[in-house]
Amino acid sequence: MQAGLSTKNAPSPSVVLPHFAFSALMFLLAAVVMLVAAPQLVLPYHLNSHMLTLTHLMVLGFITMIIFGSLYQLIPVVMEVKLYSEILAKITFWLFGSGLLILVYHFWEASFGLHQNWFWFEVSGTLILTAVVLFAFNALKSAFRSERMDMGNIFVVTGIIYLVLTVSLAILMIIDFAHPFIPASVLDLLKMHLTLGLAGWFLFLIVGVSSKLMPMFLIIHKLQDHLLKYTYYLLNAGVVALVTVYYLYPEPWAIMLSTLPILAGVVAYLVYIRYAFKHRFRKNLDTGMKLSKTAFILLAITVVLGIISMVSPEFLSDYQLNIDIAFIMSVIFGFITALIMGQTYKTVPFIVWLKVYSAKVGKQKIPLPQEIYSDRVARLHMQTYFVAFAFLMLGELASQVWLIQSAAVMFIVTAVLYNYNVFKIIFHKEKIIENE
Amino acid sequence: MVITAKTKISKIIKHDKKVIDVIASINKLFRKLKNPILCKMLASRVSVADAAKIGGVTTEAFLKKLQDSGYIVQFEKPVEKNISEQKSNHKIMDKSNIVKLDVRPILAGGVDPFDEIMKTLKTMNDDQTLLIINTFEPVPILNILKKRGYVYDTERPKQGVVHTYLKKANAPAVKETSKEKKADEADTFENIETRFNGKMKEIDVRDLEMPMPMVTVLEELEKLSDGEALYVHHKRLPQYLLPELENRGFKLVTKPVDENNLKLIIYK
Repeated sequence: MQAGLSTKNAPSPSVVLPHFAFSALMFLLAAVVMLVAAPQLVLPYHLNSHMLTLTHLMVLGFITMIIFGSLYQLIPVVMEVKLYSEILAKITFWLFGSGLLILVYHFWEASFGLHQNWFWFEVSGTLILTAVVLFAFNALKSAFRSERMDMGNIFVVTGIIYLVLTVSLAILMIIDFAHPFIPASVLDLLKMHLTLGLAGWFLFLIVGVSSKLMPMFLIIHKLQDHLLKYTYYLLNAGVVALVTVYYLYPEPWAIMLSTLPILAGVVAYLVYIRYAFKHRFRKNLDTGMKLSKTAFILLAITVVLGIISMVSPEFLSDYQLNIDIAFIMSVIFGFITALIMGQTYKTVPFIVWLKVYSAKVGKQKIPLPQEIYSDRVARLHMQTYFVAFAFLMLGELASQVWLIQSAAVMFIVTAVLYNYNVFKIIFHKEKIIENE
Repeated sequence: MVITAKTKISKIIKHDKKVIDVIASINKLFRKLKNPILCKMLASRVSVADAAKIGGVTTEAFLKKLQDSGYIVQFEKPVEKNISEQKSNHKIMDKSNIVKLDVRPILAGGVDPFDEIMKTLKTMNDDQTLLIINTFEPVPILNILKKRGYVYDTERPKQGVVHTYLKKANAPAVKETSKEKKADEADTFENIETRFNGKMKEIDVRDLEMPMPMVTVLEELEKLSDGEALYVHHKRLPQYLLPELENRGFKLVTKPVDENNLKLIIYK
């Protein structure tokens, strides 16, 4: 005699959890790569195979993988629809994971000389593109069934479209390297790829998801949604303009002009987030939220670096490349990494807790989600992370290998501790608290 | 195009999207068509005559309205046969052994209740009758089930509530039970609110961080004594809580107040 309660929208944990596990391991691998590749990370050119290995381990392995997992969990909850296909999600995971590992291995081995063999890049690129298209299909198919098309959902949907564009452009670049046909310089193509990936995919996704989660975690009832709207238009205008300019008219003044809307959009978003933190009901922040708050402070630092990198003042011209690289690194290892580590603690424990305990809530004394990982370890790796990030920024700005090596060691420590907690959560076994 | 009683709504919409507004203006039940999911699921399966029935107006009135708005329509003889056919169904309908299914929360969650109805029918014996509670007569599903040998009967206990009784046609007919009783038992929010008046515990979980809303609700439910219900102020339809409520044999009615405010009554 059920009154139609079976709105079992949440996906099976077996779909979601492998993404978090894989992602955590890739973070650790990236930290190790940073240590080994430190001497190459201060070299004054962009198309550097070790740099590419590191960035792709981070943006695809660590970041995009965890976003896939989180979206499978989030779409059903915030959009109130069922995920279109769980099997498709599992296929996507394997295609994406294997494509990524092939890609980064061949980045590591690549010389990018005249005799560079592009075959494995084409294979891995195709695997990743297929996975991304399947993911986009799955996510958009679910999203369009939703009646709740608010700003947050629109951001997520737009972000997914940028992801498809980012990866498609990457494939075109690989083909272009092997058989040149695109009438634009490699560097400009690379910058288009970067713009689409960082300002398109990541930024849109993060704004969309955080506009849903922050109110939930901070407990706040009314947010300034008009700021989100400004952010949306500004970011879109900026990304589209910048990509077009890089392709058609890569003059400094045009680039600078089209970057302005992106910066303005980020500032509007930061004001939105600041409001949420200021007007929250929940005053004491747990470790997950502290890390998230740090992320937004780091985003402000990134904006400053971005402005310097864009304006490129005369007196800093010797350091231009250092600033450029520090800017990219601060997006990836700063803002996004801190946010992911923080949000991991807000979501994964809940997913596992739900799986293990939902039938026992109220009947037996059970631990809460925040009690199934070690908060001491989480606080510890928050500290080591701060040190690691500071070393990395200094190392990149001053071109000092030893600083980057120190950063890498601290990142390894951070990643090991983070992995410890992620796996502790994933493999959590039921624990009933005895009455004392 | 010429619209007749048999024209599918989806065809008209395909021809001219603005027709949704015209239909929505006929009756407030049709305003649901503006909801894309409902529109998709209804429009593809129903004809003008079906749609008129869903909205509780005559086919003529429906066509007339389209004609007034500039569509070319062709009137037909009223479908009297249909009514008598229904009447005869009415008599053989056995409404004792009832299984109730309220599809309104499913629709409110944006899901097509078709699967849920089919699933419930599968678990039932032939001598049981399914009672579907909805805000309109689910004609598309009924059309499909008619072909599979089901008979049905509908009642409108009150404005905006439609009870549809469904049963295998070849099952033995037994005496009719009192209909009034069933009507009173309709699981609307208001009915449940009245039924448990004075026997409800009220909690507000809107200011709790997850998973505390769920934990609080489930803990309170365990403390309830028989015949008591729980009245919950919630921010949204709690997706994770629903399956758990079902597992524990609870039922739920909801009443949305605004975007961040939803009232739930959970009862057994």
